[in-house]
Amino acid sequence: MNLETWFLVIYFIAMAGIGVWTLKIGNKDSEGYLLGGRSLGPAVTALRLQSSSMSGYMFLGAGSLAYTKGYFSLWYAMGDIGGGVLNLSILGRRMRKLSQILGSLTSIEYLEHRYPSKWIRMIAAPVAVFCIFFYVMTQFIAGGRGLEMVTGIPYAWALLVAIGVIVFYTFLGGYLAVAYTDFVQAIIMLIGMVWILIGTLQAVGGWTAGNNAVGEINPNLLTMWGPEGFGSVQWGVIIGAVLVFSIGYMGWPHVNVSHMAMKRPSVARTASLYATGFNLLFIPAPYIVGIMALIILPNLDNPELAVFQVADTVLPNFAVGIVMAGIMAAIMSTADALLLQSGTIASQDLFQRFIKKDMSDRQSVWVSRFTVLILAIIGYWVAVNDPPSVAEVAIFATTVLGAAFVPVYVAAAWWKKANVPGAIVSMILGTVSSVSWQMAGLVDVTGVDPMGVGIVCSTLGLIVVSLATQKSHPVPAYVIDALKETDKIGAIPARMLIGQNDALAGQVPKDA
Amino acid sequence: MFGLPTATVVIIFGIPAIWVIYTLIFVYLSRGWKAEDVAEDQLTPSATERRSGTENGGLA
Amino acid sequence: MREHPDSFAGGGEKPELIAPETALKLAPNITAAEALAVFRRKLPNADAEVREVLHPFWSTVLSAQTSSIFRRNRKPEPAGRARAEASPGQCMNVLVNAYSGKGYLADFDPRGETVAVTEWLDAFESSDQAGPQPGPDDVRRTARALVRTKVLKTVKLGMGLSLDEIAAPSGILKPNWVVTGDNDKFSATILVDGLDSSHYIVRVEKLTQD
Repeated sequence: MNLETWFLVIYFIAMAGIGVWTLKIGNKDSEGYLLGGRSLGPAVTALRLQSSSMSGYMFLGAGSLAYTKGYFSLWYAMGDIGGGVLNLSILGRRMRKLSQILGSLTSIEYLEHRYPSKWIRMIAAPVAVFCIFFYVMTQFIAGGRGLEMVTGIPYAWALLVAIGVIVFYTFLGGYLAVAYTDFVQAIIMLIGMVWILIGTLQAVGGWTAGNNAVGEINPNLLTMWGPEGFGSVQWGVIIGAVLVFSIGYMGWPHVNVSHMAMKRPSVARTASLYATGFNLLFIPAPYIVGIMALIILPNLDNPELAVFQVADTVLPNFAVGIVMAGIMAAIMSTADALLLQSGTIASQDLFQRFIKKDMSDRQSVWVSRFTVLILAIIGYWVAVNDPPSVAEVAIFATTVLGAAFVPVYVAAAWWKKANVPGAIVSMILGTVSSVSWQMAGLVDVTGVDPMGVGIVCSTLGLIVVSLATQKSHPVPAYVIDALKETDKIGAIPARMLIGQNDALAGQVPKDA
Repeated sequence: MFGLPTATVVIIFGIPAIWVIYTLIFVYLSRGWKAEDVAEDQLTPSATERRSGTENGGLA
Repeated sequence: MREHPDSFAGGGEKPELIAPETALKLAPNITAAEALAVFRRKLPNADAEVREVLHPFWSTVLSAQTSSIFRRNRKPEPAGRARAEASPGQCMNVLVNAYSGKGYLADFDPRGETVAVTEWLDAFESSDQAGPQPGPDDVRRTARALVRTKVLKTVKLGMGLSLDEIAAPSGILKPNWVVTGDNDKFSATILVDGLDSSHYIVRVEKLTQD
């Protein structure tokens, strides 16, 4: 085994060790064991928001976009940098408060409580599982590619090992605090990425020299208008690129759930500073590395490997080991969290809710396990036979989730007239329009991104249908009360209302 | 600058700068949210937090 | 297969209220004076009157036991290792609001005097809260869902999880204080939790413009 592989093995063992250790700590008192994992502080909230959605795409997708499109690819980064703060500022406090008033534990349950109808969950849960599965697949591919590079074993086997380790972690990983792992993972990703960026810039003789060399290949690569130049620029695609990772994040159920776990309302404020800071440092780096890969590795077979290969080339051996091990751990724990999420949605939000209400606890866990295994097998099969482009898959999944869920999540917290029919129509329209726009190849014909189309369709659907059905399907009074409560902040009567025990609302006697 | 066309430099520094400004404005405008914290703290925080934290979705 | 007491339940719809077989009246931890103090913290210098009310809950006790996926048999292990693999059963008291069906993990053992079930029914009459008004099976399901969510949040899928009912659902009367009063600026009614002194503002009116 080479040095890098050793680092990787040590890393996995260390992570497993932390898992067992936390399990032990957690068992010492029942409070920590049962109630742990709540009340997240700002740093954890922010970095978790970022890391639970980024790793595979960032290390493979971003590099390949940059390698093929030059600085044009930074449009995605431009939106992405603001994704965290946008999400925290628009949804953060309100979603925390409203979910607390409505008593929701998962982000899909939250939607069902805000729009009280079983159809909400019936539509939202499959869409979420479907998209999360695609995102997990990007993690699989990234894990397989990374392992292939580090160990030198063929891709098909590396992929099998990677997926095996991921599933193993999902089943056995005693990581009690997923949030804590996500936090560590974000830090590791940041250090690794910045290390690679610095090594890359040193290798090309600095940023300016690197840009000059790229300009000699094709000066259009240095512009924001794509390799074909300004004449063929597609504004619709650019707008979509900026939108997809900025507002698109607000549609990720597994990202939004972290709002609900914030310790305090004001955590969102501090978290936004951390999020923007992290994003400024982290997000542009893989794109710049991907662009510089054009000089360092001009004849790359697979552009997706740009970042990994550059790291292998520019960093000293021991550093490659550390950085790659860290990156692989990050990819795997993201995949593990996402897999667990889809397993939970399948068992709790779908199976138990609609198929077998009185399912026993053991059955429920087995449904989760079975779902995870099935997803892993399908994922392996797709990823090994015809691996799709990580960038495309990640962008597609975010697009569909964004189009389907952004309006319902935003309206849930902000618009008192948003009602059940509006939300149902919005989710269906958003999903159908963005998927079919993509499938029908209308992007190339019209030059308009499916994100834009999907968001417009789902937003219009929500507004028009909600207004049209206000009379027949009014928003229940208790939801409106909860929303009014959520609106309030700062003023004197509000101060009196804030911080009360909302559970007591259910105990008010008739004559009080 | 940096061997890049001016438009590129303006965009890749300008848009992040807008996000930074947005963040700072958000942090400034939401300074009142501290009041909500204070109000929550006054109320035997452990009991309040445990309550709301252990709430489930009813019979969902 | 383990038995599931709730498996005979036909569904959530119950036209008639099902009363518990026994009822327990909890003594308040918070005195009337303390409830008044909570009110005065919100409305300084207020004059107020305090009245005790009882809210009906269901209560059940579950024991949650986790085990590693590879270690089904729970034979005794050396202390240090056993802890990491399988925790001893944790007993959890779950309270379920008799109107809303919302469940809470209680951090105390419900203790109090046994009272006639009619008292529980009287308390039930005293409120007009809307809600599904769960019966014992709903209470069991809610309690299981709640405990399972809590445990699964922290231990992953590899863990085996078994929940056992230690005590069947029974009635609980939880004391609260209704405090009504006003100072020179506001008039308000606040419900103060009789156990932990948290509060809920039922009504507040501004009396003067400032």
